[in-house]
Amino acid sequence: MSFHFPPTPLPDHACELRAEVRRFLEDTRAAGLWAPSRKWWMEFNRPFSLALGERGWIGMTWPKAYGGHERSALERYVVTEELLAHGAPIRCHWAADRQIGPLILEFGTEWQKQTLLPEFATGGISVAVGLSEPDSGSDLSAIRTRADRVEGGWRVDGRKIWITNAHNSRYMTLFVRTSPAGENRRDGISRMLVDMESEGITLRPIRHMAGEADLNEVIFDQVFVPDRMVIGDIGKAWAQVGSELANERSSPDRWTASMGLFRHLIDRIGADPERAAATAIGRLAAHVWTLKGMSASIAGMNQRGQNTVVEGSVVKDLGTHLDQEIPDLVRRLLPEETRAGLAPDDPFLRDLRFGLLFSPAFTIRGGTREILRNGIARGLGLR
Amino acid sequence: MMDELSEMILATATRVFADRVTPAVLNAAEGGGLDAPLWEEITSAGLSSATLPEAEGGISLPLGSALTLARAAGEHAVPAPLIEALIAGRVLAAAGLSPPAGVVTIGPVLPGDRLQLAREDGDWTVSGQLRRLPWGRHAVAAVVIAGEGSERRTIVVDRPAKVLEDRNWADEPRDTWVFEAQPLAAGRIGPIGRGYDIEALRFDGALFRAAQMVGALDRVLEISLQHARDRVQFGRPIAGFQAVQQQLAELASQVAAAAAALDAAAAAPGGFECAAAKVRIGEAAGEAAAIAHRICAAMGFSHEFPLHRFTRRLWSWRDEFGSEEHWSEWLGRIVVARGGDGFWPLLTDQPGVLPAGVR
Repeated sequence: MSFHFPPTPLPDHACELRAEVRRFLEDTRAAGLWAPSRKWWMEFNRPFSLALGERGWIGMTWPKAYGGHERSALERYVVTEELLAHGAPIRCHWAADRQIGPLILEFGTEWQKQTLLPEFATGGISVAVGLSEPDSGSDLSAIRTRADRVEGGWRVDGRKIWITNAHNSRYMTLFVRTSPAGENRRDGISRMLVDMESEGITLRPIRHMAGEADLNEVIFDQVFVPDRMVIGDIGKAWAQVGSELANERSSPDRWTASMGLFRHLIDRIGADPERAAATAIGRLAAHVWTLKGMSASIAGMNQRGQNTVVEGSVVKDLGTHLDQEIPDLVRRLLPEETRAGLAPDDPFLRDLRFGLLFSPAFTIRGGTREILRNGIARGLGLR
Repeated sequence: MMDELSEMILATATRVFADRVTPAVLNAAEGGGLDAPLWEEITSAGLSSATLPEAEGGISLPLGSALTLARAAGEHAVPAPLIEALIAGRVLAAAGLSPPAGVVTIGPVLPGDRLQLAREDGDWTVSGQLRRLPWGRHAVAAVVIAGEGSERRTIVVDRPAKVLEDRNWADEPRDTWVFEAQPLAAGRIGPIGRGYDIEALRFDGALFRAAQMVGALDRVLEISLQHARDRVQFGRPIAGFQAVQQQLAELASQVAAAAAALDAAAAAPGGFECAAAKVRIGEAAGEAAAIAHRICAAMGFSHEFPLHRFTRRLWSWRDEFGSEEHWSEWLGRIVVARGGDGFWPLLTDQPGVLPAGVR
């Protein structure tokens, strides 16, 4: 048996939609709203996200009643891959659009859908994802952050770590223990959305090896979360994680993180490169083309209501491998002799430095390579 | 979606392959022979003529279905020139030529090989050599794209007197035909670059070989999974060990990527897509074969165990109709010619089209 990715023709008007997105990107760039940065699509830019929301390209598939636009998963796919491939700065709204909005749509209350989703769809509201803890990384059910019942809600104590963008976020989703781990450690875990302005929250920025400090440790000391912010049933949050991570893992952002560097390489290598360079570039192009087809296929499966947990893991495993290969390939094809002649602030050097130093994160965030492969092995019936 | 006729052909093919391609037939084929009962059944079932038009005895099998047939043939390691016949049928149909009676092969297989055409008093002659011709010794004729540059034509050329026999790593016949001003019979030459693009044989060759490789990859995964479940060491099936599971997951991912690349190229079969599929599937073949041999270990190393039937073919087929290196370079030159900003539009704007100005 093998995993099947049926080829998915894009909708008839996909070309027009693509052209619209490209025009939007050109216009907003000309207006000074954004420019490709070393962080590529991972750049936080609230004005850009607001403009995108204004255009109707956030929450595209959500019901209109909740601020969405009732477009198809394939239309959303086209918009998404255009933004990612051009390095548009989507970090501000990205987690809300990609996984937290869909999570609320699937498990949330009517109040949450009516109140939160329209906020998310504006693009201006950033949501952080709180899963990892100091002693709970891949082993997610080992979390210790707990929520105790109090009048009208829950009192949260504990710590979350490696939280991207928590310092810019209005909300954070919290994976918390609401009853002690019993026979099955996966029971007794709940999900809530915490307002980051609540009392008792302390943020500690974590500087990472690529030089930024956009990760955080977030400490909760008797933080009150009202009942209305609990997502899904108390104690049953484990069941939510599968579809959320499927959304996170199968997105084209898992094979476009190094595309800015790849484009630098194409430009810098010139129109008549040596054979080895042309071969390496063509090989990468074949990989990107394949992954693009697989991601579109997943969007098609989602459109038909199919679960794509394992397929998402396959795409993330293959895609992050490619994204990690590119910086090193650029290093070899544009060697030190070439790079030494450039000004220290040359955008290419800036992007190569960041791309190489950030690349270990690709196979950590959203599930390590080993965790993904465990899931794939489960899909093969081996676990 | 597949039409009814295609479904019938595929059902027939699967039955013929399952019945006729036995270990004994595969072993015998390693001596370079073509099993007569197998070939007889393939031809009489209409498989080898499927891509020809009805007027020539075929059913004009669409590309997608023909590729599914090629994948099934790869899955069974069919030791016969069926894929060559399917490609020949497509090229002949496009050039408006009739098929020769008997086994046919196609060329050139190596991107650098080229036959020269000469014309004297209205009669054509063919010179030069074609290397690595699949099943060359068994073919009565080859469908070949011959000539230079824009003067290239489709020809049907008889097997010459001089044939040098050789084989690939899977022991499939791969022979050299040497032509010394061999006359070309009337009705055996097509017009210049008509209809089906004159470049198409090499793209077809790459894509059909890639389809066979995906079939072989399906089997490599199946054999590896089965072996991991059956083989007991340290008191349990090795499939229970995480180290083995991680490798099987990687193997399955490579097979999935290869199949996705094939399907994507079949849905939009332009030059870029055929080349990209051959590159991606060729790479998957190398990775998958290596993992499968680690999983199946010493048993998989024996001739009796079926794994080598598929891994040897995968290793060989990577190099036929353009290796990963050949097509990667070809793709790379298209990419750099368009510059960094042109890369993404190359993937999105005109799928299925042969990029202009490309040789």
